[in-house]
Amino acid sequence: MGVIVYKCINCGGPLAFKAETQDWTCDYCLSQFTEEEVQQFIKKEEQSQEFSAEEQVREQEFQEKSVGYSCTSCGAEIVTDDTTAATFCYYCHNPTIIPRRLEGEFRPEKVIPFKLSKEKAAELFIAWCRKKPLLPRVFGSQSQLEKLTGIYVPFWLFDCDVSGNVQGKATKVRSYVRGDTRITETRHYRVGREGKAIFQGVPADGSKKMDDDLMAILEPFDYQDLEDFSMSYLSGYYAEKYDMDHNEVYPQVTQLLRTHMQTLLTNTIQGYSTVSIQHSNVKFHNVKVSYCLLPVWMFTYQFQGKTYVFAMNGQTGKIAGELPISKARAFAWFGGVAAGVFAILSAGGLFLW
Amino acid sequence: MVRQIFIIIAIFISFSPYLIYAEGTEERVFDQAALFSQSEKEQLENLVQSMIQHTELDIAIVTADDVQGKSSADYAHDFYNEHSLGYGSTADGLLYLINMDDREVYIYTRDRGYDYFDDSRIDKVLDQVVPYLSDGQYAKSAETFLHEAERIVLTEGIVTSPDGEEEGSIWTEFAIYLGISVVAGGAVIVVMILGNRGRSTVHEGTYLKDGSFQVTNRMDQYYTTTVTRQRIQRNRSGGSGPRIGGGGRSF
Repeated sequence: MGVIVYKCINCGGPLAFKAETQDWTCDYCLSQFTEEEVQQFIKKEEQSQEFSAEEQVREQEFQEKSVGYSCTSCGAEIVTDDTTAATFCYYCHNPTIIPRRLEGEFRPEKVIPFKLSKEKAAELFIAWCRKKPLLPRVFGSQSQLEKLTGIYVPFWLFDCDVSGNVQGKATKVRSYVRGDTRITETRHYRVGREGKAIFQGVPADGSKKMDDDLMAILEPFDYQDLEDFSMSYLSGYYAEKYDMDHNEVYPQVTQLLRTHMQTLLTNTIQGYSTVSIQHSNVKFHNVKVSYCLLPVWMFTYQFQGKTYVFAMNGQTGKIAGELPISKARAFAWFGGVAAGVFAILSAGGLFLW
Repeated sequence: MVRQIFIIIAIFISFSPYLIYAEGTEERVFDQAALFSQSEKEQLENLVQSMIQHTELDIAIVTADDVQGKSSADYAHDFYNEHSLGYGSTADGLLYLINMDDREVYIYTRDRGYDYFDDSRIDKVLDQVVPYLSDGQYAKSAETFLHEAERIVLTEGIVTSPDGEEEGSIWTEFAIYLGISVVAGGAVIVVMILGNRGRSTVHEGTYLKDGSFQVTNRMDQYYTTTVTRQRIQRNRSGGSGPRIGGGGRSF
C-alpha cells in the first residue's frame, strides 16, 4: 500500500478534511465523519489487504527504490517531490497521502488542523488588500486567487529553559537652572541582571522550500489547537515532510531566544535615564523538540510580470508577503498630503501675521 | 528759503556718517586696570578706530580692577551707557570687558552688535581669547577679539535665528512650509510602504511561559558623577527697547 486515499464509508467517494466544520464531510453523499470513524475505516482497509509477510517485505523494498506512487482511485502514477507527504492525484484530483513520508522519524507528534477554509482565506486576503492604500486597484481580485494552496508545513517546536545575564552602564541625569546657567548632573552606574526563563513552542520551519522570513511573519500559532497527529487531517491538503532536521534549525532558534532573553533582562533595568548593555551571556538547558505540522495557505500572484508570494497562517489568518506598490497611488497620496499640509501651514502663517 | 533749508538738510544728511565717525574718534580703549603698555594701547586704539569705520559698530575695550560688586554683564551695560557708547541712533556696538576683579572676560553686545553675535558666536570668540588671558597676554586677547569680531561682522553677517528675529520674506516662509509639506508627505508614504506587507508580531513575550521569567540577581552600583554647565540661550525674539546680549567666561 503506497498511498492512502480516505474514502467515504457510504458511497466510496474521496474524503477531505473540512476546515469550517472541523470534520470529514463527503462531497458526494454529504455523510459526516469524525476522526475516529475515519481511522476505523483505514484499519478495516488494512485488514482486508491479504498480503503475506514475504510479499510485504518485497513491497517495501520496491517502495524504497521507487519515487513514483500509484493513485488508488484511477491507477495513474502520482508524481511528487521527495518531500511531499500529502498531495492530489494529478489526473483524478483525489486527495492522496503518502504514508511512508510520515512514518518513523518523519511521523509528526502533533498537528494544528486548518481552521480557515479556502474561501475564508481568499476573503481575508481581499479584506487585507483593501486596507492597503498603495496597492494597485486591479490587484487582489477574486479570480486571481484560484491558486490558493493549503499546505501543512513541517515545523520544529522547541521548549527550553534559558538562563542568562546582561551587564552594562546606566546613567541618571538631573538638570536644573541656577542663574543663567543650566547645570546637568549625570550619575553613572554599573548595572547587571541575572535571570532565568522558560520558553515554550518556539517554532522553526523544517522545510527548505518554505521561505524562512515568510514563515516567521506568520507566527505565532495558537498551540491550544494542537491535536495528536493523524494522517486523516492531511486529506484534501498538501503536506511536506521536513528536510532540515532539528539540529539544522537549532542555531536560528537560539539566536532568537538570545535576543528575547537579553530584552527581558534589559527591561528590568528601570529608573535610569540611559542604559547601555555591554556584555551579555545566555545559556540553554533542557532543550526539547517536537515535530509538528502547521497549516499555511500559500499562493503566488502574477502581477505586471512579477511574481508575488504570499503565505497566510491557516489558523489565525495572519498574512506574510509583500504587496506591489502603485506608483500613481503613492504619488497621489504624497501630493495630497503635502498639498494639504502646505495649505494649512500657509493659512495659519498668513492668519498669524 | 525753503530751497536753502532743503540744501542744508541734504548736506547734513550726506555728511552725517562722517559726523558720527567724528564722534568715534574719541578714546575707545579704557585701560582702568593698567593691563596694557603705552604702545599696546595705541595699537589697540588704532585697530578699534579702523574697525568702527569698517563695521559701523561702536567698539570699546575696557579693563577694570574694581567692578563695584556688579556682575560683569551689569558693569559692561552700565559702562556702555555712562560713556554714551554706540554707533548711530540705536547705539549699535560691542564692548570687550576684562574684569580683573573676578578674573572674568565679558563680551557685551548692543542692538546691531547683538544681531551679529549670538551665544554660539560669542562662545567661539571666547574660546580664542581665554587662552591669552589665562597667559596674562591681555593686549593680545583684545587684539584677537577685534580681529575675530571684524571677521564675523564682515564675512558672516547677521545671525539668522530660526525663531524669526530677522524679518524673513514671505517667500522664505513659504519655502519653509513647502519643506515641511514635502517631509510630511514623504513620512506618510514611508509609513504606507512599511504597512504594505505583513510584519512580524513576535516579541520577547510570545513564547515565554507565563510567570517563568525571574530575575535572580541585580546589580546597580554607583561609581561617579559628572557635571556640565551650559549657559542658557537668550530668547532672541524682538521687541521695543535696546537689544542687549553678551556672554563671558572666567580665566
